[in-house]
Amino acid sequence: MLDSLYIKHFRLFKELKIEQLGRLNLIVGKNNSGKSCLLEALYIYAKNASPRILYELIEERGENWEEIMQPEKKEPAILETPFCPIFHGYQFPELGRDGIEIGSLKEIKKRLKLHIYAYRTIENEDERRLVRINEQQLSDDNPLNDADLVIEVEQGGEFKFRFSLTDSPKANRWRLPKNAETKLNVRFVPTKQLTDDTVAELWDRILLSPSLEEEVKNGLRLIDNSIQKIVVVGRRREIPMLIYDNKKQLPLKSLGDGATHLFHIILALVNARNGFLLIDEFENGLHYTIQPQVWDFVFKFATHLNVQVFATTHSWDCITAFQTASLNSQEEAILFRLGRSARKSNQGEVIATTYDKQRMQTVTQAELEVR
Amino acid sequence: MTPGKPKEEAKATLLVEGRCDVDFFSRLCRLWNLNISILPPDQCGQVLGGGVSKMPTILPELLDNLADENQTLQKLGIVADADHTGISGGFSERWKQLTLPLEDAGYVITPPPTQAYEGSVFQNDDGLPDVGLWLLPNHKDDGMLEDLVKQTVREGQQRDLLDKATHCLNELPVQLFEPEGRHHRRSKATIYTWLAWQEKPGRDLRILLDFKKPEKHLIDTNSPEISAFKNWLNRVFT
Repeated sequence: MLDSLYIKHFRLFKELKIEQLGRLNLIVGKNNSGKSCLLEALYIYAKNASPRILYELIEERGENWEEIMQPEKKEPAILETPFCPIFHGYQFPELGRDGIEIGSLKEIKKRLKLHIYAYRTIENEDERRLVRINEQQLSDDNPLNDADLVIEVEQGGEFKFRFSLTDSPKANRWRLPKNAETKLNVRFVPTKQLTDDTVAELWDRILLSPSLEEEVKNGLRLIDNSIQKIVVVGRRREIPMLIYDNKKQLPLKSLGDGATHLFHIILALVNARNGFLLIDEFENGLHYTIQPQVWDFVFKFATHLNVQVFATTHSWDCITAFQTASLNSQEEAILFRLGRSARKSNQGEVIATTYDKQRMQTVTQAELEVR
Repeated sequence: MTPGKPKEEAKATLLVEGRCDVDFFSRLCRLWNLNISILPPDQCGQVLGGGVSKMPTILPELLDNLADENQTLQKLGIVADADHTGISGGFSERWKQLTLPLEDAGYVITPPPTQAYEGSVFQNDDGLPDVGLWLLPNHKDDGMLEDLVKQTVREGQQRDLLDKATHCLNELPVQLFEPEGRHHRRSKATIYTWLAWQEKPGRDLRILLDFKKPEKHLIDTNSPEISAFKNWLNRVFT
């Protein structure tokens, strides 16, 4: 579990500090305040900054648009341009400096760090290898344009791996050391729902532990308590079906978007053991009356399976449901709002205002706007 | 009890103690065409128990909103009863209690003005908007809202009635509002006795101002005390 959060030079965040995280964390804030960026940062942290994952996130935001515009291009796609936006201010930092940092505010050593360096290929009869060019060499008559830009990934103060921004994503993947990608078990429930393949994969994992299958059913019963069984059918097992007592069978989708979203949250949660669960827009399609029970369910299983949950919301009902559920649980629950500083010293920078259980109670009861 | 929806956040907020203050100050602002939202609203007062004791809890929330450009709040004033030293607070204690969260947020706490009826306006080291503080009645002495009202009751018929109410209270065989002879609730008892003798008995402080017939205002809105308060409001909110 992360006890606190520090994000530096990543997308909207110049330097974001969150003193305290809980097992359960609800994130609010206006559009473009950094809620999704924060989930991305946690995802990258959990995946050890794997270039494959970074590129997936870039594709998700359409930041590889130049590549898409030139489908006929014979040269391999170059990563340099699309990678720019992941750095704060949409530009690469200076070589070896001001890189991305993600991790605990308190345990500096455990942070994930991404720095940009320039490398040059040295070839001789025996070998071909990449050598880091230092600043001194660059300032001499060595222009940067015959060098490769490389991201070095460091964790716990140790170099883990590097990947070149001048190669295609595929080429990079093969060069990574084993286990480079995996650090933490992380599951992400996006706004636009999980893909069929992901659902099928998560469902398969659940079938291996029958007690979890039972809990998924219990979770869905929050919406319809007469559900007797859930099965997933279809050639690619893309159709979750609900079976009822009287042999009635209904596709989950027929219960509406809320039911599907809830199913995805539960599937992801029970599959996130000892890791992170990230949910973009928790309330999506969920009626306000069931949100307290859904949160109760999430609190219970997050504790049981040792999952740290991060969810975003725009909904006041979701905040009050989260607050109510937090009172039924011993777990630390934190609400934080991402906003922009009005202070002269860091004007316009993304800041976080943190509400623990006590402060959450104050603002919800006083009906003070926190979103 | 399920909390309701959040109130629409205003650009300018005057944080007050409770319902009586909302009644009084919202009408004053309306009289002066000042677009200021008076907080806490009724609901807030009920759930949190209201009163000055909750102000140091709410204040940091409002200051955090002030420090966030994405939030609507841009101007903040605080009005609270100073109350009475050794009983329910007193000027110094209330001052300390309410300036502490401001100091934590980087406000420079200047000493209280030596003159009564000036109010304080604190500036922030790091460029946040000024925040005003007025401890009732006059930002110098112990007391409460009702002491300010007493000072500003219209001369003539209304002043005579108030004097009579004061006299009546002195004549009472037993003064339940002053257990152990402490005088901290006397002005409240006086004002509500006086209000009971108005054209429409049993109303609260809202009847002090009559928007249809200004000549029927029960207080003198041009009195030096009310004018001084208006000046402070203008310093904070404009």
